[in-house]
Amino acid sequence: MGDIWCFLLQTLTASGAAALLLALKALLRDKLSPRWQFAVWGVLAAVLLFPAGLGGRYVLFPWPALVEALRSACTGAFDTIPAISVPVPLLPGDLQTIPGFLYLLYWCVGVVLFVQGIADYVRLRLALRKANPAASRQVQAVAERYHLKACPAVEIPGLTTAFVCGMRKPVLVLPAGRPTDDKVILHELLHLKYRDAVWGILICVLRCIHWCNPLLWYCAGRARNDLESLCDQRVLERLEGEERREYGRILLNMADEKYGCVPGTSSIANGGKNIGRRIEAIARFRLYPQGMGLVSWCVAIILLVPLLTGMKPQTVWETQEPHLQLASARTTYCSTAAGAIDAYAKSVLTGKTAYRAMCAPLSEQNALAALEPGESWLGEDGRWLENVNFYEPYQIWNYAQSGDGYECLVAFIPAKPPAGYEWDGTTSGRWLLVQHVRADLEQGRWVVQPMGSLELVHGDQRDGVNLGLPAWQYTGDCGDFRVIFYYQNRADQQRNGDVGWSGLQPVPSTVPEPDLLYENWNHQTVTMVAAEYIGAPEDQAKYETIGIAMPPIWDTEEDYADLNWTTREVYWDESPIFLYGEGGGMWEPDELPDHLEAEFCINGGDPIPMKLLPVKEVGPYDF
Amino acid sequence: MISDRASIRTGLTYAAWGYLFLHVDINIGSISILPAFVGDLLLMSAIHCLSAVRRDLSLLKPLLILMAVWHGIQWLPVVSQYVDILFLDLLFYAVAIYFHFQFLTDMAALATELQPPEAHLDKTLLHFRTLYALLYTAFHLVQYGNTILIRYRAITTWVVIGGTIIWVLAAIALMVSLFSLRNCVGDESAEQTLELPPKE
Repeated sequence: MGDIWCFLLQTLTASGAAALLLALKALLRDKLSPRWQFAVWGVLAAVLLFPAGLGGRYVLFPWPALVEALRSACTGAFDTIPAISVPVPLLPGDLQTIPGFLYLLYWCVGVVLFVQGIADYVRLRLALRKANPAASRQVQAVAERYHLKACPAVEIPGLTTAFVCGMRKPVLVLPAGRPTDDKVILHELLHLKYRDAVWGILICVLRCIHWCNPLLWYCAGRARNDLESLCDQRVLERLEGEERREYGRILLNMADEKYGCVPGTSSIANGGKNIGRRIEAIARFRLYPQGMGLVSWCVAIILLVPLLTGMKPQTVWETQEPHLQLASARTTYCSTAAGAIDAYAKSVLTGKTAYRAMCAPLSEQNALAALEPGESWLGEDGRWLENVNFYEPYQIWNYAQSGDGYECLVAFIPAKPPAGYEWDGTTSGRWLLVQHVRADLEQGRWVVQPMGSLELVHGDQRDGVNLGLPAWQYTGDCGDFRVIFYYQNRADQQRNGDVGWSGLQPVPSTVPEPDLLYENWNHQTVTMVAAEYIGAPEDQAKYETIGIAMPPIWDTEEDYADLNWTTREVYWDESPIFLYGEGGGMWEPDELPDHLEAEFCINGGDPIPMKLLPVKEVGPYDF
Repeated sequence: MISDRASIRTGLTYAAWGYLFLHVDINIGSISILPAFVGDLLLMSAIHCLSAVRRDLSLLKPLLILMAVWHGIQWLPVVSQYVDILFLDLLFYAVAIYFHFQFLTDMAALATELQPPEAHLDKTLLHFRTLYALLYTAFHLVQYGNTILIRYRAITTWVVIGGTIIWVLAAIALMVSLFSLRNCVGDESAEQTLELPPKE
């Protein structure tokens, strides 16, 4: 945690988990054993020790969005998102702003508390070195009777209750001049056996880190009390009959005594109110039935997994408060490239700034936040979308990996051709609004950057391939003909009946799906082979038919004997001369072949082998 | 201890049907015609009938009331869309695991007292108790995983479907065991009162 915002996120995340645990412990207070009551605090410790907000996730409540909204409202900066690498406070960096100063203040107090705890422990150990050794026979006798390990004992005048200090070289400290009951020594030796001082130290450290959170401070006190109740349970399991009642009376007598809380120590007395709770627990004492351990584990696991893994926000908040909405958008990570492209496409369709913020790089967030409410982020490009057909899904063309990211063409369908342009009413001749975009991963979120502006394109769809759009091309010459192979892939946004219906077709949704997988698009591979005449015009009359046999690009090893020949009569008013088109299902190559092979024939003659090579001058995104 | 035979039979019948309502869902549109809160109310009636022979059962009533309220809220589609809150879901999952574990433990203890010498209904119910706790935990973890492991949803969806089938089969088998326990009590034509061995 390097700033106040990261600390806020971590402590609020833990607070939600703490509230859940407190509610559950209240419901199961007298039903699950003291072992569970203490062990379940381990869930809170796990949440405290796990960086909050990883991957845009939140635990129980959308704290990342709320903290981000507060941060952007206070600082006016929208181009960073707090990320916690370690859940402990790092050295303050920024000291020139109010949030930076507040973080410095928090850090200093936390360090002071931590150092004070260490100093208290060191002072106590030094004082114990000077104390008189206590009669160890009693301690030894108790240890032998209950099969525990004894430790050196000292006595201190003025002390009202016993405690154990230290872990590596523990010392049992007894009040001087007062007899100590065997059961008190048993209690302390059990603390020693189960190394409860470790938990005490962990509680103190976490309390220092979250010193300004009253709920976590309260939970620290409850955890210590539950630790003592657990030790009481262990004592009672070793006592019988009247000895148990005597133990309760001993605790009652300690109710008025003061107690200290030094890290590395554990004491039987922990304050009047806490002792009252412990006595209630003793009154409920029973040996818990077999199998209750299983329930305890099941309850702990069913809490631990969601509290550690968190939930990922799926939608942007629809609110009029711009800070909240944009913060919600920035923290609704697009976890896939397809999700980011989907968010981008829908931000174009709707003009909503929040949708754009979901998939915009951090460097663009300030500009988006500066827009007026209701103002579209599209700027001049917005003029094209006035008659976009919302009942037609958007299309993704030529989606392919490019370095560490992905590139594609996003295409929208206008409801009617723009003014001054004609449309023959056919699907193949449709006009398209197309934009080249690229998706990259930035700090764990996929973002989209347009690589050009929206282009109005007249489609020329033939058997799947749209010649109005760019394609990967391979060409090869054979005699007076140049064979051109076109390859495109196309994906259509899925229609979802949850939004509504238009006639018999469900209406596509305009709400982004930030976790969309590419497989969820209806996608297909489309190819086309055509030929261009490159010979002398006076020689055209020689040619009546041309034919080609070519393995599909998705199975270039296919035997020519299994291929069908496609033979066409040559019509000179057609350019290029269409030979055939093919759809190949969903073929997703890691990389395209470096050449294609075919056999070409002219006027029904012998097949001529030929090789087609990639066209480097024209790419799949070049108009 | 003398107890009313009919009351015990009725209680066990309610318990068996309660588990059906809790674990089998049949929806018409968005409305469940076997709502879970009805299962909770049946279990409440079962506790009312059986608490004379198992006093500990009445300690479970407060938890069951909470579960019934929660299931009732979730059954109302107008309200449930606003209370899809993980905080409350986790709280009630934890309470439910404990409740069913303790309830079935008590049913197993009742079976020990009621079953014929050669029967092993108590052990069967204890096994179901353990299986129930494990299945409940696993099922809800997988359902949770299905919402977050989006890339593996094709796999987790099948796991959820498989888990649901096992869940329903286990619930039906549990029902059968409870009906078998009821049959150990005998029918209404026999003596009305039933003498149970004194508690230790």
